[in-house]
Amino acid sequence: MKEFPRLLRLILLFMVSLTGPHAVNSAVALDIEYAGRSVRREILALYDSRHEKTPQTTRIHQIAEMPLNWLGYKLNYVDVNGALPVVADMGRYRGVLTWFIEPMRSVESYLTWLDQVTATGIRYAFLAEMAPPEPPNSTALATRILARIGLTPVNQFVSVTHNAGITTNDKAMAGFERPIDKVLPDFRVFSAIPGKATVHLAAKAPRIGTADAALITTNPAGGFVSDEYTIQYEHNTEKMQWTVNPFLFFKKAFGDDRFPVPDVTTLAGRRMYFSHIDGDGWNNVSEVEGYREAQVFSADVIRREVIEPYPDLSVSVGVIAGDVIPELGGTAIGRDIARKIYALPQVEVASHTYSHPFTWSFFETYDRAAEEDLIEKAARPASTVADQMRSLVFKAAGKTMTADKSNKYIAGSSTLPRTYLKEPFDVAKEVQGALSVAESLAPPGKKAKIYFWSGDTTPFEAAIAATRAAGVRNMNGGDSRLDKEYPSVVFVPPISRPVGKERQIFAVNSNENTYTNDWLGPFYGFFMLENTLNNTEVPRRLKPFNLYYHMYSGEKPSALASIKHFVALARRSNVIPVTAARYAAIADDFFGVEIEQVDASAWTVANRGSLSTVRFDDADLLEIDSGRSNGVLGSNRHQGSLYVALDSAIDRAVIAVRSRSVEANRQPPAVQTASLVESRWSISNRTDNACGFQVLAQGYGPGSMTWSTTAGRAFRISVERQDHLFSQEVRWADAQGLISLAIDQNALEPLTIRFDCHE
Amino acid sequence: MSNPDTIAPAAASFNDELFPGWQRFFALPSIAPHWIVMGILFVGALGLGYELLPGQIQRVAMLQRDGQSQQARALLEQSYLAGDQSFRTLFELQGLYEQFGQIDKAGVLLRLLIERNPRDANVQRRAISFYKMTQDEPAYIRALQAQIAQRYSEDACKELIGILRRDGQYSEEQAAIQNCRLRGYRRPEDMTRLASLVAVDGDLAQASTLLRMVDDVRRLKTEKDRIELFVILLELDQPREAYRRAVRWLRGAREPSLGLALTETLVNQNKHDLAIELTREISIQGDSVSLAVADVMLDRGETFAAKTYLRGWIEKAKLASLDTVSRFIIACLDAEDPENAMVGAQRFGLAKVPQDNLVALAEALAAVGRQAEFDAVRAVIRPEVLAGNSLLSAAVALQRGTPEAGQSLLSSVAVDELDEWRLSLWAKLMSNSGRDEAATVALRRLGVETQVQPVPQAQTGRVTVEPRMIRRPKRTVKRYRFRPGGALSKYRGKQNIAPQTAPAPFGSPGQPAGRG
Repeated sequence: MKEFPRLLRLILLFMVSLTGPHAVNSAVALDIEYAGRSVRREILALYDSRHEKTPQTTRIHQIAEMPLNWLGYKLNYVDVNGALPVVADMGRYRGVLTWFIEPMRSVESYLTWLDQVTATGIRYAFLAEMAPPEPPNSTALATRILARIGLTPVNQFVSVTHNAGITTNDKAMAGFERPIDKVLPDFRVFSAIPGKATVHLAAKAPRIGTADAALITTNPAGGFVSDEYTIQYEHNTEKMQWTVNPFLFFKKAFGDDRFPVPDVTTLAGRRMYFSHIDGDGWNNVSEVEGYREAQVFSADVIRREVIEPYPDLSVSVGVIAGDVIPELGGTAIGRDIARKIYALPQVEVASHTYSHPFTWSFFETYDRAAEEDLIEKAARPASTVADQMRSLVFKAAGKTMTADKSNKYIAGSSTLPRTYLKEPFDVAKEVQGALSVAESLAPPGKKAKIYFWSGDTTPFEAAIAATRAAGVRNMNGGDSRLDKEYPSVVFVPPISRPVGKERQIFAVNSNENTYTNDWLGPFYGFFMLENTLNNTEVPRRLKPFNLYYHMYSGEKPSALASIKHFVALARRSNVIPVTAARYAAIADDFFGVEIEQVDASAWTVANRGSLSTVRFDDADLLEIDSGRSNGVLGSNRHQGSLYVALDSAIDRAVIAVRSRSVEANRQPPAVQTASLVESRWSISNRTDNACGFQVLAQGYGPGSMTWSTTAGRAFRISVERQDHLFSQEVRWADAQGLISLAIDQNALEPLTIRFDCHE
Repeated sequence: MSNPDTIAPAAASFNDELFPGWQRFFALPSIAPHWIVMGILFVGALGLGYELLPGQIQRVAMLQRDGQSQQARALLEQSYLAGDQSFRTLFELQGLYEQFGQIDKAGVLLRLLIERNPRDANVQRRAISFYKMTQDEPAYIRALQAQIAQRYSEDACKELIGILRRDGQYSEEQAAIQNCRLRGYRRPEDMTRLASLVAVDGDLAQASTLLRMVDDVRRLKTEKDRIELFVILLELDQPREAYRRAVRWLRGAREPSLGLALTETLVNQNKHDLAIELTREISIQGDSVSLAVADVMLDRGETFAAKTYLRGWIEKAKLASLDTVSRFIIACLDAEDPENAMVGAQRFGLAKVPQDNLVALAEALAAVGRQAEFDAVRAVIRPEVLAGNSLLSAAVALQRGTPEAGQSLLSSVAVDELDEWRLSLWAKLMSNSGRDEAATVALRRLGVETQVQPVPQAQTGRVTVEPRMIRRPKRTVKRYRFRPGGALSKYRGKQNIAPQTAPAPFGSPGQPAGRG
């Protein structure tokens, strides 16, 4: 980290402060000592377990956490009925967030605690009610707390609103996904204290006095959204939509000071792409013509049609151990298919459990006798004469039949707690055992890297802990959708689900099940994934590009067509293919990132793990100050945000930004070297020399990348690996200062790309 | 040899004479009658056989049955390209395109089918399914509207209304509900929604008609809808009708929050008599709703009547809830009866009473000189709460014989913000600490007709001032009595968006619940 003399720093700060509102916040004009100031990213999310039993069932987790994650925040959930954090320890938190609706048990003690916390300056934002039932029990406390966020309680509630009307409407804040209803929803009356709060939405109604009822407000101490103006629930279609803009509200309520936001969507300047396949339907005979006649299994169809033709796209394949262990009900053919799939270099070995649990909670307090009881009671198709004949024929031909439907230890549906029931459930076997089975089918040395949750995808703490103990990442669940059928970011989940001390990483997109009426058809529904992919890219990149499906998509022609459509789309898109395990690692590491502000426009980012991108929003007038930065490979822009690519080889990156004048907007930066704009391969280990630099590159398929330098500047660019030179050419930057490279080499093993000055 | 030219005409003439035309025909050995019959049968059989040959549709069906869908599609495409745009060809081919995931082509054919067969039920069903699955919302809305126009469907109406509402197309939503209603749609949630929409447009009569219709047939279910109808009826100057429905909703039902909300609505509209009548009708003496009678009396300024009522009320009260105790204490204090408030608080358990109420009670007890009760209440007020209240702290300081501390605390009190009890206590403490003149000046400045009879000797620090409440010309701080209308119901009636037991990982209602 470079140290600046105090005077120079002040001059710099002053100059930066003149460059516009987006460049720095107003605090810059003051001489603020930033050095070593930790950027607080933790939000304390309080919930009432009497009404929302676990963090995962809270409104905050299901609805609000995603926008908060996107803004860079991580949530700690605490039950308001238990011991609340010691006030003196609250300094680690950026703010407190609540979303209470139902009556609380101990309003008074809660408000006493909240009063003490907010008195220390911790920000406080509440959606819906502050501490229901509110007055008359604790009027003084409530009034004092509300005053800090600029509100005064009026002790009135407007439930009939046909005479009411909106008086203030900040369109950027209210009516985010649905206009304010013509029939105004009911509201509790708070009036804003003049000059102490920004009123984004307010209404007027008869008999509420002269002041307007503030419905959405923010101030430096926090914010408030009236209950019915948070989200709207449409009963006929059973869909929710935000009324308030959650991105903007949380940004303002929890402080809109700028900091580099750890980003889990982008790598090397490009949107990440990863695909993962759950093994369900592995041994199902495909109905696709050309395969059905030969009784080809769905997994093999997927291998032939989707995986093998796309060596340039990574894919993580999770096999269910039961599908490949004949003793449990699996098949030898399925085993052979797994071997062929795992032998492909673009395939990452993964496990989709051992016995494929449908209902994970059943196994948290497992009782084999209860399971046996369910097995005995379950209805299953009787074995017909034809089935028996077919079985004999297969045996005579020395072939394995598909799963025997009459076997009582193989569940035909999710009415039983798991698919393969023959052996008692054992969490170690379910995790480590399954990973071992997957690895046994892979070429020597190719390890399983990730575990995909099955069934209801709600694993218990011990199960997640078992994946950590096994040294693999975990993923699935979330079912992200953002399209006409699910028309809200409400349906885009956060990064993860807290489970005790563990964390389950959500898959980035939903699989074909939710698009095909739970696989009842029509089976072409998965084509609509494209809407979610587009809507999570624009107007803000919320998620990577994730193609997530099951092997049974190889069973139906239209489902197969949809998968092929998306791999083709991925191939032609400007993405960087990564493995599912890598994404899961990045998502996991989001929570550990430590950011410190070193001056008004520079930060250090440490403890990043696999996370290699940070983001500045509203950054059209910002650019990286490469002279003051360290460990920064380059930057790219998308939807007004600046995505900064960090070098994974540098533990503690320093990111400095400076304002970009309008002129500079038109001119390429006058740099003496080159910085990365975007790349299809991961870039790391940059080392600079007297005139040039070199990087390591690794990735899938042919490489393509763009570097930014001074217009007309030339580099001799060499591509090599361990002294073997693959190519060398001289490239000049174009008028925009850009050098675009296409490298047709296999980069599964890292390549060195050297840029030498060329005069 | 004879000349053939002369013989032939002669022979022909002979034959004509011998056999008429028809006889000659049958006379030929190759055209015997049984041959004719056989011939006819043969030709008939050929025709029948041809007719019985499977047509293209049958062949397509057979191919599909045999799993040869690609061949079936090829056959239909050939026909289509050859100009066959019959319904069956288009319909079958469109279905096959869906089956193969050729969404664009399926869409083109579906549009053609809709254009040519707008009233065909099968086409409409397929259009609804296809446009829903492909998320073509404008086309989906058109398909739903087409179906409703032709044949009433509750599901289609519900879906259409929901989509328009979700998209914020409120005029279209209103029109759709009205259109569906004309065709027999009666879903209560949408009828009450229509009432709200027309009420916003100012048509309260129509709104009340709609709400009454729902209420008469199925009873309005939600508290919000009931309050809306109640308010609209009052605004339409139909208080007896409002009263009649309220009694119907509430008699025998344990819905105190609705009862209180309706009572408050009546009070807000200056219908105090009706409010008392309603409260008496829907409550029993001693319950939380009947406590509202005192609130109504106090709102009308009938302090003595309220005091009497509250003394009677407490005798039968069960005082099970914190909320009711809190309301009772506030009402008693407003009725200038701190002794009765103390009775209620003690019966409930002083330690369980909210601190805010304890503070108010202690202030009032101090003001009227109920020293023993004051001490009892003060003992359960938390130290930090006491320290945060200058007035009470001053009272305690004076009681302990530290007048300097008491005076210091009193001078920090913002007199303008005090309500009547607190003002009384302040004046009394000022008097006890020997600052009568300052108190009198302040009270005159506030326009108070002081009735305080200060007792000069305050040496003991005991509260000895005439126990009366100071009357201010107008209340600057109105105490909170009624629960805000509908507020409690919000908690009870609110659908918890996050269910207690999520069936799926992200299993809120309406959220996609997939399987891993």
